[in-house]
Amino acid sequence: MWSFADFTWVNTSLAIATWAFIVGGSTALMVGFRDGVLAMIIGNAIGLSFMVLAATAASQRYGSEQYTMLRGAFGVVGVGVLVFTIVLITEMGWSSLLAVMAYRAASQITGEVTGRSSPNTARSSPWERWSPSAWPGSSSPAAPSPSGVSTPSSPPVWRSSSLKHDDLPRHEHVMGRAQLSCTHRAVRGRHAELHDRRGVQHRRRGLLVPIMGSLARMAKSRRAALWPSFLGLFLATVLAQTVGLAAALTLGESDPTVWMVPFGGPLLGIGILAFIAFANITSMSSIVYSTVLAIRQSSGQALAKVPWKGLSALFFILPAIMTFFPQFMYEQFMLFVTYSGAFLTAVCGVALADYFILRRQRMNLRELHLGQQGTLYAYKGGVNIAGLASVAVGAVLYVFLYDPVSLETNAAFSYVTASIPTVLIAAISYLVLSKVLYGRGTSKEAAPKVSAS
Amino acid sequence: MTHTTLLTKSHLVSEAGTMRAPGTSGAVTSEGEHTMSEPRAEAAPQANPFVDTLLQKGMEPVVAEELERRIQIIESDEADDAAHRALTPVDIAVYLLVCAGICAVALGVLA
Repeated sequence: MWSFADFTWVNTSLAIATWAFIVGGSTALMVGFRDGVLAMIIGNAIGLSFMVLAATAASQRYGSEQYTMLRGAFGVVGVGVLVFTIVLITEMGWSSLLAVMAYRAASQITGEVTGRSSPNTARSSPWERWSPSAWPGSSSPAAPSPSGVSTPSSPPVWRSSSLKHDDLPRHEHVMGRAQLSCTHRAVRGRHAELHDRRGVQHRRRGLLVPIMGSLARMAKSRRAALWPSFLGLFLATVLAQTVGLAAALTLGESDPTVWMVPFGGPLLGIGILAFIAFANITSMSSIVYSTVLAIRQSSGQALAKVPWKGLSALFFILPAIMTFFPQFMYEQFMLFVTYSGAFLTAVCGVALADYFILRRQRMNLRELHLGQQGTLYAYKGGVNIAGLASVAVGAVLYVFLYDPVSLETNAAFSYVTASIPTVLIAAISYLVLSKVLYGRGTSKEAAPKVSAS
Repeated sequence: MTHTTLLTKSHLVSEAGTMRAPGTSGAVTSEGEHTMSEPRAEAAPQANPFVDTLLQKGMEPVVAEELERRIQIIESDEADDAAHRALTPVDIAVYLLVCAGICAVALGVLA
């Protein structure tokens, strides 16, 4: 069982992988350092506030992973639909990307130790689409849209040349950054910048939502689940993203595997790179653990006989293959992740409404495990239509307010964000549909914490 | 309920393994599954609608019984445990206020 401090470290290791630096670096496309840090603080605080509450509270209280706890909101088959579509693909993709990032860090260390140029410093990953260095020589990488929000004006220029250590600092990129920032600030309001920045954060939420409940069930107390989840993820993420932002603005590169050694020196640089490489691996560990649990829970008896190790190995087959196609992953997979974030935001809204309002924090463990054979959480076809329909409604609203790919936004976005109304509308929709479809306005779990069988 | 069957990791890789081992007797294995720190004895099967239904679903008997055992412990031993009570309105309010406060401070600096 994890104490407050234990779980804080778990969340820190989950948060501080390479992607955090790169996401921080993408902020440099839109704002300067001060506004970027503030935007990251606000974006993470908003996103984590409802994600942590939705994912950890029920699992910690009942000691069960979140996909079992979500059977009430979506039904046994409904949870399976989410797991085998959004969650499985998302987490497989993230595992592949984290493996690439861990490889890059390890390869850089090897290159330093052996004195050979590290091949992985070649910018072969489409992350640069989101980083300042994706726009070499371009002073106007983005053009303002009619709504006043910039969109990429052309496909990102792919940098094929290898980045050598002596390229740093690359003054031309620093100058390009300054021009870039001025251009953006000229055409965009501060709030639009801020909220755009926050939009970038939701890709990370797609990674964390499916994981947190399965980890939080091992926390000793409700406070040891809630606060370390929020503070551990928040502080570590903001720290790493701030470093990535600063590096992007000053060195023209947010990826620490590129600049850490030349910037920090052989000893410190290699030490920190080793830490980052392992942090990617710990993030992968959290992902595979939670996802394999979800697969097992959502597959009925189909995979019950498959050993845990075998199922974990099966999970890694596709991610392992995809590591050979990083460009495809970064371009196509990130597109998927971007939209899946909209769905997972709505899932949080439904989960919050189901656990805190509809069921008043009371779940029946036996009924949850009985599923369709029980009474409380059995739905026609195993699907709680109210839950899945509400997720769809929320996701549509999210994309209406903010298209995370084109960056087009609705006017209301600058004031209410996309996440907050998505969570609220998904929650309200779920409560209304539950009442209409199933006549449920209050918890049927009643007083007993766990009913007698 | 008493038990006569020794539980191994492989017995618990299914549904029961997805629950926290209640109390302090549980341990998390390297595979993320829970095992009990002491071998346990198991009595002759007793009529239990919950276990029977799980068995009809195709769950292994040892897993179904372990699930029932853990639920019983959560139901009894942890029922009054403060660590596993529902979040109070104060807990939730403080949490949301802290989140809102962080945003407010950042917005204040931004403005």
